[in-house]
Amino acid sequence: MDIGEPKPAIIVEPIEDPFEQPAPAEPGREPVEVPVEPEKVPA
Amino acid sequence: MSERVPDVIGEMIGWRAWQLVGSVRVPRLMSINAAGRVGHDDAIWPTKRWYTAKCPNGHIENIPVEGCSCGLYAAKTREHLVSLRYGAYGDQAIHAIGEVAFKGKVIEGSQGWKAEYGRIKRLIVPYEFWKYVDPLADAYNVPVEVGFLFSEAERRQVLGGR
Repeated sequence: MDIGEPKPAIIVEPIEDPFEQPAPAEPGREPVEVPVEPEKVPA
Repeated sequence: MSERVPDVIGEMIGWRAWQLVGSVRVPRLMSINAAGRVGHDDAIWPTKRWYTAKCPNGHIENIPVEGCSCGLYAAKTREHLVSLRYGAYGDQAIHAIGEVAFKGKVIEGSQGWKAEYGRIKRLIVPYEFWKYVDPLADAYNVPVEVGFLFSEAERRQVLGGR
């Protein structure tokens, strides 16, 4: 994708982070992604 | 990230298109054409964390690197996304479009964005994929609408008048 003429980079920080969660009660219990197989949905 | 002083407090909003992968039970969204650049796993947008840009050219920090193709891309508007010929229903499999929010290092272009971190804010899926609405909403915790990704006029535009 061509974004056109670029401006200087900026640093953006959200007011609230929707993924920010308190530390898990037990180490190793962080949310994990479920692996998925590619190409299962017909085009 | 936390050591950098922000220039903007908030998020930058853009429009992207995705392919659906997985199943109706476990649907996920994959960046268009990205699997060949960064690998299948890294092309799938995660559900519980920010999607972090990776560089196919070996940069490991300060992404998106100026002058490199790395970074998460988005159009500034839905209209711009259409003008980029996404969603032609023909030569590319586009299963969803939607708004994304960016944080971290962001480069604004005259027509779009390149960014370090992104998350999905809302989605639109075509009618034929209505079964994915609730599973996608649950997976990504965002509003998901059913509708035409592109109007008939837009489809004629991207199909070159066919």
